[in-house]
Amino acid sequence: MSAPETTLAAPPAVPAGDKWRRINMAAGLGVAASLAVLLTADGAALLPARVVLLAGLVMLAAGLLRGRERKFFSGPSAYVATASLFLLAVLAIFATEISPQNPYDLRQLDIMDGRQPPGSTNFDGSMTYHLGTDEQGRDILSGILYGLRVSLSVSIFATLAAMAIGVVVGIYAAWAGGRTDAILMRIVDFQLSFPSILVALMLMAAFGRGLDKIVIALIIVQWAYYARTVRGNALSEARKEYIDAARGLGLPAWRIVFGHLLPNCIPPLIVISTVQVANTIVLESSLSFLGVGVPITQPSLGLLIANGYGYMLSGQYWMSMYPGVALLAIVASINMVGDRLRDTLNPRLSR
Amino acid sequence: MLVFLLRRLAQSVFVLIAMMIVVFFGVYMIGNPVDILISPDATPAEIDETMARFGFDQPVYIQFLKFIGNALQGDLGRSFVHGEPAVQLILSYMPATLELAVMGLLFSVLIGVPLGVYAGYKADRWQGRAIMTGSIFGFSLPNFWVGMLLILIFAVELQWLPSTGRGETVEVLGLRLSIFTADGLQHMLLPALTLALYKASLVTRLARAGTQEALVQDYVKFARAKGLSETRILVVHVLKNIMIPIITVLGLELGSMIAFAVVTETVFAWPGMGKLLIDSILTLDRPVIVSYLMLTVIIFIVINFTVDVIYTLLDPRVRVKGGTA
Repeated sequence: MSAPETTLAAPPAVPAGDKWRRINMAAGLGVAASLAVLLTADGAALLPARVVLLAGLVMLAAGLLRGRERKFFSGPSAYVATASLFLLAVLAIFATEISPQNPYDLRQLDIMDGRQPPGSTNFDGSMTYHLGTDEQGRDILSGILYGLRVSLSVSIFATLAAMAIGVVVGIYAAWAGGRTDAILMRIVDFQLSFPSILVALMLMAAFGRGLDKIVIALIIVQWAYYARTVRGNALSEARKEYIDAARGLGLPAWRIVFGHLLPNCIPPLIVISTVQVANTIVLESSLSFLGVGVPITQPSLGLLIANGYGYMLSGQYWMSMYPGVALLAIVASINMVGDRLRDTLNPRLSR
Repeated sequence: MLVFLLRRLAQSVFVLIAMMIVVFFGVYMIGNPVDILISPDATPAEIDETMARFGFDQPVYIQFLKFIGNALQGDLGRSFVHGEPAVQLILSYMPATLELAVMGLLFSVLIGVPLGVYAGYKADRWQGRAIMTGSIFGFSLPNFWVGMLLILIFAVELQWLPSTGRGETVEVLGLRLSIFTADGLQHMLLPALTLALYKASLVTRLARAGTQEALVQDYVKFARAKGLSETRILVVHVLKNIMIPIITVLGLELGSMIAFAVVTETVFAWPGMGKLLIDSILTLDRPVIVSYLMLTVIIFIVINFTVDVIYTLLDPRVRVKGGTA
């Protein structure tokens, strides 16, 4: 059955029945599901979910690059960015195993060790604070590892969920056409006419702080962007011959939409969503910095920076400086990987 | 044209009404403001009395109609904290934000255009690549962290510039501005630079793309054939042609500058309306939050409307598209 499609599609980004398509789909679902488990309060330490998450991320990367590795790794910056992204992801996923202390277990903290500069040791010399401590005697390095986990998981989950919603709305708008399309796209225009930070601030002002709330706010902020992009893709894909062929075969509408239209609308989104994860991390950290983001019990990098900010002017720079370096490292490496991906997958879009 | 204008105006009014509904239900319906307004050990009678005074005992639609009615008269309630009418309060904070945003735009052009033109001129050389990689860092650096680093370097370590506040202000045309005093400018330098950084990388990328396109055009070949120096070609001929799209984009970005100023103002304790918004969110000062959101929405609607109208005047094809969309 797949033969006529592969010849008619011009050129098919994802031929139906491609095994990589199933692998990517499974990997994406695995990432989303394991993140959902890890984001719930008591699931944060579940080892199987974290292994699934790491495997899923690696599979997604492999699925994206298959056959195009040489083009992707065409300069030193691609290697550096990929390596640092992988390293940071592993650090975040295995934060509980790697970090010297659990910064949110109050029994492990000693207020006497508060505001120690980098390199100092604790009272009985059993532990060195390589990046110093905060005002409650928390090891900054451990705080960063835990914070990295919060920042990354919130942003990746929100981006995946927003993408899923955006894809469904966008495809539905394109397929239904007419009045449905017009109404949905007016809603999208309406939302996109305001900058995301403003919308997110507004939502968080109404919701209050919380991990679940910031995830919801970040989803609401982003979905419209995907919906508009997917609608555009779907409209141009729907005119192509392989859709006509599928109709000619007498396939039911749902099979054409889910089996043929949808898989071909997603690839252009991958580059966007990579960069979007970086934007989401920055947005989340800005909101947390402003005090309307994650709760104090589960600080992200932005909240760590905000906590240390008060001590900055008195010269105790390490409390917000190092979380900031970690934030910059993760965002810059995602952006660089996204830049390379865009050049590799969609040369048309490169600026 | 008139039909287009009317239709666009009707759209704007519709957006405004939609935002009013969203803001009202977002801010007024979630949580109970009475819990914040009165002490927890108040008697039920006192609670009822406060509820009645603020009109919370009435059905939702009556409250909503009252809100709309008052809003149309420019009354969005009094600030719980400052005791002033919220709209007036915000308007008194607005000049600080506007001058910061305008200064930020200016900086982003002054930084971004020269870098972008140079990167476009040396597109395949290491200089061009270095600038492009640098612009990724410009995109990636979180606004608030840049501000903190600048404070750490220039205010704490070097002690060249003040770290917070607005400095000396003068009254110009009834607005309190700090652009016109030396002290005010010193205070503005760091926040404006922080705000400008993201946009500067955007401008760098735009200017680079524009320069690359312009350099292969006939007028550049002609200028070269005439024997003009490369500097003169870049600064006079290329620059003139790439500035139009850049200015258009920046005009659109003025609104987002105002929104992003929320973060910058918090870092630098700049007394603008963004800082006021954050303080109000933290103290649950609802009338101020609502007024800020409504005013910002109006600013955005005005910007979008103006841009659409100017586009239509410049490019009549948009009108046809606007009719169907």
